[in-house]
Amino acid sequence: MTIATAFLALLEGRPQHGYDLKRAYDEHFGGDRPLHYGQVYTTLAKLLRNGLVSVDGVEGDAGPDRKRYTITEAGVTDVRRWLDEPEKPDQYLQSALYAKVVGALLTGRSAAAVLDVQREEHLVAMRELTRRKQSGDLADRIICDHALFHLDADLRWLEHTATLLDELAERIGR
Amino acid sequence: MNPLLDAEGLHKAYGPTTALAGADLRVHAGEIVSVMGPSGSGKSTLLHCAAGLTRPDAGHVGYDGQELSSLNDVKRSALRRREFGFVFQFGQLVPELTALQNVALPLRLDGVSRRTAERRATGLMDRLGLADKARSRPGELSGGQQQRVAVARALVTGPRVIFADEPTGALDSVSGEQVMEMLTRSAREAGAAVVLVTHDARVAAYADRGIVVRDGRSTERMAAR
Amino acid sequence: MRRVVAELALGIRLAFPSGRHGWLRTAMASAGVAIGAAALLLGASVPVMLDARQDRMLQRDDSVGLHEVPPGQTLIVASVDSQWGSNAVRGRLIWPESPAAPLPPGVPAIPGDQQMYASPALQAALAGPDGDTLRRQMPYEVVGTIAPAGLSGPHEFAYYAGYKRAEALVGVNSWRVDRFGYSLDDGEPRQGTYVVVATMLATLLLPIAIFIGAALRFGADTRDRRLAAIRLVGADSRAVLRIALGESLVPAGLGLAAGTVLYLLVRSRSADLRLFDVSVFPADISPVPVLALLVVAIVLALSAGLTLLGFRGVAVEPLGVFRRSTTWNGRLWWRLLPLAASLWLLRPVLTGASNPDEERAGIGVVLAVLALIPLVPYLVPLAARVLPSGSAAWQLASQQLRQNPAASTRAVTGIVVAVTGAIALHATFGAASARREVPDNPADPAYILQAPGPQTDAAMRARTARFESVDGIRAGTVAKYGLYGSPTSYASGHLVIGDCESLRQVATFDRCAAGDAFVVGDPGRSITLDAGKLDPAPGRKLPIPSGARPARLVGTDAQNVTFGLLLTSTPAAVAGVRPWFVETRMFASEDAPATAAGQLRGVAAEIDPLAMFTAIVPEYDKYASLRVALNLGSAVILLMMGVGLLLDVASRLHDRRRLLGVLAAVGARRSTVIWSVLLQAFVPLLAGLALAIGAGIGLGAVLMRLSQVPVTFDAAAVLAPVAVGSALVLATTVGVLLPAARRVTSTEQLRYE
Ligand SMILES: Nc1ncnc2c1ncn2[C@@H]1O[C@H](COP(=O)(O)OP(=O)(O)O)[C@@H](O)[C@H]1O
Ligand SMILES: [Mg+2]
Repeated sequence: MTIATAFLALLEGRPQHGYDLKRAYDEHFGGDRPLHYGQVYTTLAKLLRNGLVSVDGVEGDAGPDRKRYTITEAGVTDVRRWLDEPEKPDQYLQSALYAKVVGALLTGRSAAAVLDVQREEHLVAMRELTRRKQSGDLADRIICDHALFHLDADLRWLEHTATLLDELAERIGR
Repeated sequence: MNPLLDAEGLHKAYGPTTALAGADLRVHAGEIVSVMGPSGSGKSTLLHCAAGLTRPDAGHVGYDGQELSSLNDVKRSALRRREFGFVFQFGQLVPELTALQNVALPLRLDGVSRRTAERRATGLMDRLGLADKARSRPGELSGGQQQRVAVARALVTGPRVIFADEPTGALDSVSGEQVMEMLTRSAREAGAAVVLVTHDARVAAYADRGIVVRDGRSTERMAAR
Repeated sequence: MRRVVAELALGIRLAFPSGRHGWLRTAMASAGVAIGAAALLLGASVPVMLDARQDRMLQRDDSVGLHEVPPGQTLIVASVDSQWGSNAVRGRLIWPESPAAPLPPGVPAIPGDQQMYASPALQAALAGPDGDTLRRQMPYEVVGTIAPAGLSGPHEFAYYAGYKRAEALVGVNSWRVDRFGYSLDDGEPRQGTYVVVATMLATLLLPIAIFIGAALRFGADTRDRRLAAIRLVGADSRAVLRIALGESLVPAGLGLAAGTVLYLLVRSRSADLRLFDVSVFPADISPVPVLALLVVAIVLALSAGLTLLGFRGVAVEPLGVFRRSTTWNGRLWWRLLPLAASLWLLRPVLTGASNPDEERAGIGVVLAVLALIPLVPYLVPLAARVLPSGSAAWQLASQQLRQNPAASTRAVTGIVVAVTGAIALHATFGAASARREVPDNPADPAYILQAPGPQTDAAMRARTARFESVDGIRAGTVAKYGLYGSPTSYASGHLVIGDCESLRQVATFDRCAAGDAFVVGDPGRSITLDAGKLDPAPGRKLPIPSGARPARLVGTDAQNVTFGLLLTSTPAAVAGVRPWFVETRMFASEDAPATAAGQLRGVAAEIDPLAMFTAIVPEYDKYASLRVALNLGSAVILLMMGVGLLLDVASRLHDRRRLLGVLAAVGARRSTVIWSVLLQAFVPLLAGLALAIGAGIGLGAVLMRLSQVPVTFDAAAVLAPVAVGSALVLATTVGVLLPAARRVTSTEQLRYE
C-alpha cells in the first residue's frame, strides 16, 4: 500500500483538505510514523497530475492549505483495484492487509470480501505447497510445512479479524 | 459439464437457530472440494443436507440428475451404501466389529456375501497399509488408525462422493496428514469426489478448490487454479 | 432375502460384543429370558402335572357310590380319612374276601390284620417328633411302603391297613369293591385346567415382560448409537430394526436354553415343593408339547416385541438417535380411564350391594391393579415438582425425573403392582384367617366325634373323661336318636340322651338334675324313634315324661332340629336300641395346645377308627400354604423387579456417566453426585410405594367385602410387602449402585470419552 492509495481511500469517503488528510492518515494507517507535510503535498500533487483527484474549491486565501480535494472516477477505480487484488501471501503482510481492511471500511466496501479474497489467495498457495509436498521428498516436505504453517497462521489471523470487523467498522465510523 | 452433486439455496433452521441461510455447494465428479468456515457457521449442516442425511427446509439437492429430497428412506439408504462414503470426526466405527468387518459392513448391508465382502475389504485394506489391523477392534486402534479404517470403509463400495466432516478433527497434525494423504490419494485413484468439511486450512489445502460458509451462507469463489 | 439374512446375522454378531458392558447386557437379557422361559415352561407343565395326579387318583378310586358290589373276588374297604396338622391323611382299612381280591394301586400285597402299607411321607411323620400321637390314629405295624403309583404325590399321607373287623361293618362303615379305579364323575372337565393355566400364563406374562423388557433395555442407548453408525453406512430404518431383532435373538436363544436348564433343575427338586396338599413327582412334570412350543414362541415373540417396542418414539437416524419427547402434563385423563373402569366394575361392592357379581368384581380388581401402571409415570414428575427444591443433589435428580419420567419409573411400576397385589391379598387373608379361628356359631364345639355303636350312660361318661384328659379340652357325650316325624314335613327331630353337663352343651334350660327331661319345640304327647336305615320308618314309641320342661337347642342344631326330647338318663324303652351315634362334643379352651387336634384324633381312633371325627374349627391355618405361596410369589416378582430396577438405574447411570464425570470434575462433591443418583432411584420408589399402599388397602377392602369378612387391616400385612419391596431396592441400590457411582464420578472416566 502506498500513501497515494491511502489518500484515495480516505477521499472516497468524503472530500477533504490536505491537513485533514494527514490527520486521518496518521490515525488509521500511520502507526507510530506520522507523515510530514512535504509528503502530503507531493503525494497530492502526483494524484492531481494523474487525474485521480481534483480540487473542488478554494476557500479564503489561495494556498495549498485551503484546497479541498475530491476523488475522481479514475481514483475510485484505483481504490477498487487495490482492494480487489489480493496481497502476495508473504510473511509480514499484516500491515498491508490491515490497511486494506480499514480502506474497505472507510470506503464503505466489504471488508469481509477483502479477507475472503485474501483467504483464497492463501489457499491457492497452500494447495500448491501441499501438492509439492505430496510429491516431494522429506526435505521438501519439511520446507513446505514451514511455509504452510505460516500461511495457516495468517489465515487464522484473517479468520479472527473477520469476526472483529463489525467492531472495527464502528471504531472507524466514529 | 453438469455437476455431480448440486445443492442450491439451502435453508435450514433448528428451532430459533438458523444453520443455513441460502447455501450452495456444487461438486463435479472426481474433484475435491473443501468447505471452510468458523465453527457453528453451518458447514456440517451443509454436508448433511448435501448427503441426504438432513432434509433442508428449503432449497434443492440434486445428485446425478435426481432430487434427493424426493427419495424415500430406502432409496437414500441405498445411495449411502453404494454411491456415498462417509468419514466423520469420530464414532462411526462399530466397536463390536473388527476393522475388517467394519470395512466390509457396507457391502454386507448391500447383500454381498460375507466371503466376497471380506475379500474385497481385505484387498482394500492391504492397499491402504492396514493389513495388520484387520483383526483389531476399533477400541484397540489409535485415533489415526481408526480414521484410516473409516476411510477404507468409505471407499470399499467404490463410491462417487465421499463426505468427510472434520476427518482429522480429533487427531494430532502428523496423523491428520496421514489420514488426509490417504483419503485424497485413494479418492483420486478411485475417481471419487470428496466434500471435505474442515476449519483447518492445512487440511483444506488438500482440496482442489474450496468454499467458505459464514453465517449459513456459502461463498463460492474462484475455481481451481 | 440375502440382505435380510445378512442383517439378522449382523445383529446376532453384535450381541457377542467385546467389553464388559456389552457382555453384561447380553447376560442380563439372557437371564431375564431364562427366568421367564422357566416360569412359562413350568406353567405349561401344570396341566400334565394335574392330569398325571388326577389319573393316579382315579386309578385308586374306590367309591362305588350307591351301587352295592356283591361278594365275590372282592375287597372290603373302609375309609378312615383324617388330618394331621396341615396334611390330609388318606386312610383305608381293607380286608380281602377272596385270595383274588383286587389290590390297591401301589400296594404289593394285602396287609395282614393290624398291619399296614404306608406312604413315605406318613412313615416319615410317624418317625418324626410327635409321631407317637399320630400313631394312635393308625396303630398298625408298617410292613411296606406304598409305591408312587398309589399316591397322588410324594408328600401325601396315606396308608392301607389290614382290618379284619371291617368284614362285620359292610353296609354300615365299609363296602365291597371288585376293582380299583371307579370313576363316578369324570373329574372336572379338562378344559377347565387349561383355562386356569392360560390365566396363569397370562398373569406371569406381565412381570416376565417387564423383566425381559428391563433386561433388553439395559445398554439400549449404546445399541442405538451403534445402530445409528450402521445407518450412516447405508442401512435403512427397516434394516436397523432387523439388526436389532437379530441382536435380541441371542438373549432369547440363550435364555431359552438356560431357562430349560433352570426348568429341569426346578423339576428335579419339585418333590420337595408342595402347595395346598398338592405335591408332585418330578416325573409328573413335563410340558404339554403344544404349550412348550407356545412357550418358545411366546419368549421369542416377547423379546422381539419388546425390542420393537423399545423403538417406539425413537428414531435411529444416520446422524444419531432422536427421541420424540412426550408431554407428560395435561394428559392425566386417559391415565385415569382404566381406574374409572375398574371403579365402575367394583361399584356394587363399594356401595355394599347385597349380592355382588363375583366375576365382574374379579375383573374389576385385576383392572384396578393394572390401572396403576399408567399412573406411576404421572406420579413421579408430580412428586418431583411437589417436593421442595433444596439441595443441589435434589435439584439434579428432580430435573432428570421431570424430563424423563418414563425411564425413571419403568422398573418401579412393576414393584408398585407387585406390592399392591401383595398388600391386598395379605390383608385379606389376614382378616379371613382371623375370623375363621372361631366356629361360625359360637355355641358349636371345636370338634365332634360321632361314633356308631351301643351306648350306656356309664360308657358315655367314660368317653367324656377320655377326651377331657387332653389338655385344654372340655367334652360332653350324648347319644342321638333320630325321630320319626311326619314324612311330608321337613321337620326333623332328635332324641338326645346324656348327663346334665353334656346336655348343657346342646341346649339351654333353667336347671338340671339327674332324671330331668326337656322338650324342644312341640313334639306332641309322645315321640316315635326312626328305625329306618335309609328311608324313615317308624320304630319304638316313647311317651313324653310328665314334668318335662322346655329347653332350647343351641348352635347349628337350633336351625336344623325343630322338635325333640332331651333326657338325662336312658329310659328302659330305649335301652336296647342303637342310637344313630354317640356324639362327643369337644370345646377347646384358649390355652389348648396346638397338638390338641392330633391327640383328640388319636383318642377317637382308639375308640373306633371308623368313627366320624369332624373338626369344626380348622386344626391348622388353612391360609398358611396360600400365604407361603403368596410370599414366595411376591418375593420372586419383587426380586425380578428389583433386578430390573437395578438394570435400569445402572444403564441410566452408564449413559450419564459423562455428565456425572464432568460434574465431579468441576468440583461437585462426590456426595452430591451420589445423592442425586440415589434420589433418582428412591423418589420414584417412594412415590410408587405410597400409591401401592393406598391402592393395596383399597383393593384389600374390596376383597374383604367380597369374601364377606369384616374390613380390618393388620399393620404387619400392609407394611411387610412395603418393607420387603423397599429393602430390596435399598439393598440393590446401595450394594451395586454406590460402587458404580463412585467409579463413574472418578474423573478418570472422562479420558475414555
Ligand atoms: N441438530 C441440531 N439441533 C439444533 N441445532 C443445531 C443442530 N445441528 C446444528 N445446529 C446449529 O446449527 C448451527 C450450525 O451448526 P453446524 O452445521 O454444526 O456448524 P459447523 O459444522 O460449521 O460447526 C449451529 O449454531 C448449531 O448450534
Ligand atoms: Mg461441524
